Amino acid sequence: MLTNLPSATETDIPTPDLLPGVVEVLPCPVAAVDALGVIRATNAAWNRMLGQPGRTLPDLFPAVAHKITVAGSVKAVPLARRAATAASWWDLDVVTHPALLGIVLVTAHDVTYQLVADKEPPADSTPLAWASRLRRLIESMPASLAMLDTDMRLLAVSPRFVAGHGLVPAVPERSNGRSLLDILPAFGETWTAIRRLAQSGQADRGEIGPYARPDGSRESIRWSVMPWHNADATVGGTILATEVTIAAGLTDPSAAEPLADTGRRQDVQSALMQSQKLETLGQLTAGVAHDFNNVLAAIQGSFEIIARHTGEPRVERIVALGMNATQRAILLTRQLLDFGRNHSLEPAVLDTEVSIRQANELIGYAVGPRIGRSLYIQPGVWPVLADENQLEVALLNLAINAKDAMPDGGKLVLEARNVAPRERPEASPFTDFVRISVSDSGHGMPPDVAARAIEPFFTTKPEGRGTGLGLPMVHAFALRSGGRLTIDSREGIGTTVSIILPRAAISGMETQETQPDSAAGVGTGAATVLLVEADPGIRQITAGYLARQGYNVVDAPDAEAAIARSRSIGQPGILVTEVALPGTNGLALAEQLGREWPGLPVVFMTGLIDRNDLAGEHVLLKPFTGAELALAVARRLNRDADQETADGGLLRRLTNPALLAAYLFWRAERRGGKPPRMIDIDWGALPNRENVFTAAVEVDGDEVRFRYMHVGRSLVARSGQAMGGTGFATSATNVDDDAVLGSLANVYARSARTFAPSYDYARYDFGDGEPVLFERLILPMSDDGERVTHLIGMVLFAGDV
Amino acid sequence: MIDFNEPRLSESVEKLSPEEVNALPFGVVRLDSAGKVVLFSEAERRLSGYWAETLGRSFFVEIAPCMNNPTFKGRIEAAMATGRLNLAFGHVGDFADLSRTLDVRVQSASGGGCWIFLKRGE
Repeated sequence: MLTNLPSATETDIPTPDLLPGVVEVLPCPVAAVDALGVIRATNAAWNRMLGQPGRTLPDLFPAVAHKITVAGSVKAVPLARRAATAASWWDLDVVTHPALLGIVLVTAHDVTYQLVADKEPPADSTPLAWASRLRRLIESMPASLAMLDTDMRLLAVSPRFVAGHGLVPAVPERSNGRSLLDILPAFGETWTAIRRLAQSGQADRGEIGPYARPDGSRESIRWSVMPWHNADATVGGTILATEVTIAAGLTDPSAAEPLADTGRRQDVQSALMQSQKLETLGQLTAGVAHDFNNVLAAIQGSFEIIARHTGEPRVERIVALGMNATQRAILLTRQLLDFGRNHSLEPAVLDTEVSIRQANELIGYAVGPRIGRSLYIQPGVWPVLADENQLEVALLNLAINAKDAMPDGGKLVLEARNVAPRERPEASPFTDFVRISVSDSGHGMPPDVAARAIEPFFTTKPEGRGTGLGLPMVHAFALRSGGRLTIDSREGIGTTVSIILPRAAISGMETQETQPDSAAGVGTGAATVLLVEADPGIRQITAGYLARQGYNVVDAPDAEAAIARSRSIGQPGILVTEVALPGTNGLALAEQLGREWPGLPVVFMTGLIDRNDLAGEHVLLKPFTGAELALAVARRLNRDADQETADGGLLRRLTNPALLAAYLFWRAERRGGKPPRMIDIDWGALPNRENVFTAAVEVDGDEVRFRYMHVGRSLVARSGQAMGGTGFATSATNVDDDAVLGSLANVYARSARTFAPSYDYARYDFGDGEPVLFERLILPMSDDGERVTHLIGMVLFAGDV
Repeated sequence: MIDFNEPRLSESVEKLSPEEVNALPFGVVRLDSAGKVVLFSEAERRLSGYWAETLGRSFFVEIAPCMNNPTFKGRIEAAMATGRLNLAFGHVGDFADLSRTLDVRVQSASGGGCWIFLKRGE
């Protein structure tokens, strides 16, 4: 039925149809629009999908200019929103009318869901973000599900829904955006009822049919709907689950065999609710954990004050316990925050031992004291390439499963081993793998249960104790990371679940795929490091350290490969080479490369302490830490760096290794040039903690206040006065930069204002003994990415004070 | 050629004429034993008012609260009194503005008081 809106001018002259007949039956919205943008006619699909009153096209699509007279297309135009509808975007195609001048035909395609699919879902909780996450979930479910908005349009469908209802085309994404009434007309009036339910946020179920199919069989469709909500608790739409039951030629439909497992429906719906809850919980957790961190810091400060005011050893011991507990709580909230964040997969070269140990800490909290734990990491275990956070979460899931299998206590073993060549999976006979296993001494599983364990929603746990989503997620993680999952279980004895991950391989042959930390790249300008080391394990870990510092790493196992690679990449920024190389040595290589690239800085690595021929060169003694490596390279690079290089000044002046380490540590945690957040700092790894203080920065109009939150032991001992919780204020605008004799307040205020670290020193020589050297490094932190919210300071003393 | 970092900087500077002092690549200020400014090189002229006001005890102990203890203060005063003061301090600041680097040296002057030497920028 054509809907002709009144035309701007009445005329008696018969005109060709504004909308050619065929356009009427097209399932996509079409409108005839005149030169002023007035919509003159629309087809049924347009009315249904875009049925808003609007005289002109710009009324519906405000982003579109009034005059559309030429053919062409406009992409991703937002539709003007009525209250309580989700935002949508459309591609508009314009063609000139075949018979009428001055009229164009506008076809609209809903691209809302494509836009969402192409991008990472926004981190906030807009309706689109929520819809997007649920959508992904629906598309991977092994049941017949469709996610609809309040207008009954498809947002996501599972493959079984598509197949079961014979949707054309068979690709799920292409169905999206279409109304269910178009797709499954057989449902007729049921849709009206369902639509009402959808809009009012009610759940219900029912059955359609049975009705005869052409081949004589009879088909019934059981359906149920459940509302889904946006983050702001408004009804977003409904989730429709269907089960098609076909009875072959029987007249009694109750004797039909269901095709789908009816018990699943319940699981699916509750699992959906669960994951929505988890989503909200994740965001809540982040907020709470953040506040919690600040409270913990204050508690820490209080303990320190108590410690100073007591002379009793007993009280001191208790205070030490309290501070220890607070430190652990801080670590825990940090891990919680990591858990709540939504990471896209960021594979990195992981030092397996370090990652497993970190996970082990979390596992300790998760399984509780009644489970005995052991950790075995094979010496020389290879590094793996995987997303660190997801690995941690996977191991945590396995540990929790293990704990659930041992309700009366038991033993849990966490292991990491290299996979021997003869044990490699059949499908990958030439790849090295690392096996990370979680074993328990629980009740085990019979073989048929073990086989189904990775099925989503399959669980033998009683109601309320587990959705059965853990193991499938771990399995998915293993697969995505290029590995596998294996389950070895024996009833009455226990279960071992192993995640098998590929060994991280950065070899000279494949294209370099280092992921530099975007933050750490600042200042070093992502220089290219040519790394030469014969031992593959050391080479990979060293390359990993350098990549994390933001360098572009090119590695080679011997001198020949190094020379070849240096030619293919152009000028290397620096050569880092082991002295001992197959057939030659690092010095000869450095000399040769030095002829091709004059002035190439070199850092040598060696395990031998006494190497006379290295005198005067920059040498890293093995074993060295990542921080030592970073120091050596940064130093060496900066000596030759342009004066203009940002923060070259600081690097040159920080001669004290502890300060340099702290500075590099801070720099590595920066995000896009902004100072890091307090929660990004791994306090456990911070060097010289007893010389570190943290202060909160508060700006109040013209005044900036600094409040000490935590003061390291050494500093407390020196100052002889309570510092935790105390603070001082200074004027924000009265920071006299020419003030030579910078007061403390000025130093702090400078860093707070400029986002830049600052370094102060003072050397006092009274002629009565050793001179006293005092050094202070202030590092600004920003929790909101806009202004400096905290300062970390490291204060070092040397000499006789 | 006088180097800002040479150990006996004050002795070397004391041998220079006023013109030579003005030609040095770093600023020079001289205080008498009462803390009054008695000389400043051209580079320090614009800060002369500042120098006159800010000196005194607070100069030495304001650097950090952790140094604010009686023993330390006593040692400073003793060193000043016996002409053996030799301090160096400074800061390295912003990334973008290398001129925010400042190094200061203070040494006892023969005849009482002290010299203050200031080098700005890299």
